[in-house]
Amino acid sequence: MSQDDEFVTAVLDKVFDGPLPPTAVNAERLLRRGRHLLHRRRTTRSLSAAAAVAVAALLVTTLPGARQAQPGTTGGASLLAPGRFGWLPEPPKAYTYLANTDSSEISAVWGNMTIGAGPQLTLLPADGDQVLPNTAPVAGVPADEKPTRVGTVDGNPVWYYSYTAGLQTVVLQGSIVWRTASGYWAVLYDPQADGATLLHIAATADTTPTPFKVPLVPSGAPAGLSNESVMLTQPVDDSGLEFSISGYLGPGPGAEQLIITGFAGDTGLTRQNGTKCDYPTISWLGSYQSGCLIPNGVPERDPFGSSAAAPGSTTPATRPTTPPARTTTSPPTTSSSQPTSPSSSTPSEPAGSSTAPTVQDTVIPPSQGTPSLKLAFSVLNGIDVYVGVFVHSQYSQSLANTAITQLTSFGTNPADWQQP
Amino acid sequence: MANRQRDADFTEYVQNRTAWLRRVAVLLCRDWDRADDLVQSAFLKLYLNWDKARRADNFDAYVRAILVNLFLSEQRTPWWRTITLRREQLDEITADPAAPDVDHAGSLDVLAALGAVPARQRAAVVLRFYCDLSIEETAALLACSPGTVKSQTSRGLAALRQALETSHSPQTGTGGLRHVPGR
Repeated sequence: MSQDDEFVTAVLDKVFDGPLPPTAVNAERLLRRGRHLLHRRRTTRSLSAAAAVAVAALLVTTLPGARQAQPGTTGGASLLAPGRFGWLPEPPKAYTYLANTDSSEISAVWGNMTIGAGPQLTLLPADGDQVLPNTAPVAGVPADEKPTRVGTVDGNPVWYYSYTAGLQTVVLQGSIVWRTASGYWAVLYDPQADGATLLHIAATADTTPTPFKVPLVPSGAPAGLSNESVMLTQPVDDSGLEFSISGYLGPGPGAEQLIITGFAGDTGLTRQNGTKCDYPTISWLGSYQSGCLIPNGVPERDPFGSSAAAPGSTTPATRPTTPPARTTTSPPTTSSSQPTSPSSSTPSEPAGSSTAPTVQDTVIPPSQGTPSLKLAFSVLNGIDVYVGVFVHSQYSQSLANTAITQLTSFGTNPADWQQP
Repeated sequence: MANRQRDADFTEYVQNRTAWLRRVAVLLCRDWDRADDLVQSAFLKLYLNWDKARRADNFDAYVRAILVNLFLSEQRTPWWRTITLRREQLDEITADPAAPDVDHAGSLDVLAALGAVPARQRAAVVLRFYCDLSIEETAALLACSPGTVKSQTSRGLAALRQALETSHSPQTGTGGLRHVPGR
């Protein structure tokens, strides 16, 4: 070992000169959580295998025309949002909805664009204790977990939870639970909030489940992909949205998890200094915070290259530096759109749009070790909305590369993006 | 019966290897709370992939690979997904305000200096010099070429050294680490 090596090793070892801080890692709790996840995965898979529900199939049912359908008619219970927040300590900059397709959990996060910020409201089926074993006062709280009443919401008691780890009482900070009028267990989580703030947020929240809109519909996902959850994030300034669909491929607990994420935005996001990006922010590291710059120092660039568009495109190579006004009339009727073949590069026609989108597939080469992802861009010429779709598999680069995603539909009217 | 054996083996493994995995995690993410999150996520993934892990040539290496991949994945993960992961593991995510204070001044210096090293370079440095992996092993784990590992490590070391020197300059010095002469 060289002196250089020894120096670095000594530096790193110095972190552990003293005793390690207490840990929250608890084998028993991990085991409970692991069992639950395993159970849920198996249940989900058995259900989805019977129906061979692919992502596209599920989401086609969420096209604008179908979105008005009541929950439960379109796979719909899985696409519910847990109502809306009322009062919040500070105005949110974005909100995120999550729906598990087995209806085991629906949640919403409203907050800032920073990791872990913002309150999260989750509704859990009232008849189960599967999702959060320690927040199940009716289904049996484990002996070491003690619910404590801290107030009421709509006349129903509110609990926070603590448990004993060794000789210490550990409080699950920032989390309260109550039964809603609609019959769910509501869990409000905000690690930044104190108890009184949590209670006030809970008291002013509307916990009536409502459908949420998924304006972007990718297809061409690998056959056999069992859909697990759908997420949608949208800044309140309407500067774009992100969506995510995750699912599992293949049987057994060792199945590949596949995550499809996407972004749609107008011509450019706003940099921190207030100016607009010349090109849409294409960040496969996924961060609004980065503005026009992609993390790790990758500079802003035109994702379409200097020669611009795919064959047949009418998109100019030089893109406008200011976004044109968006179309706000003629809402699309895209329910007739059908998924395209995964191998097809034919642009999909968003119903209601007078101009076909230009679709360009790009495989991002490995950059700084980041696994390369299949990337499909769509430029909806008429309204200058840019869409990027990213397919990510944690363990299988080849899977990510072969899982081509096409866009079969896109809500071209911004009103379609607005949540109720 | 098989499940019971798996659970017992898993529990024993978690109890025996938590400290080791936390050390690796904190060097990667520089924060003990986040390190606990990472470790718990890694253990959960291990549990879900127990059969696959058992077939691995090196069980610890398999778990470490999960941890590193989780860490790197977090770097490129939209903030909302991070929230969701945290939310899903709410019952494991705890804070203990009553925990006794421990003097980690020296630790904090090093952890702060590691913050000057980009995540991927940091991972390369930690794997090479703390986990004592070879260039080839590191390359396999990071899914890149040995040449990339060399360059990432070199840049990471330079950034770490510069950060340490800055933090211990006469103006800001708090004592502690010294540069080994002759480099």
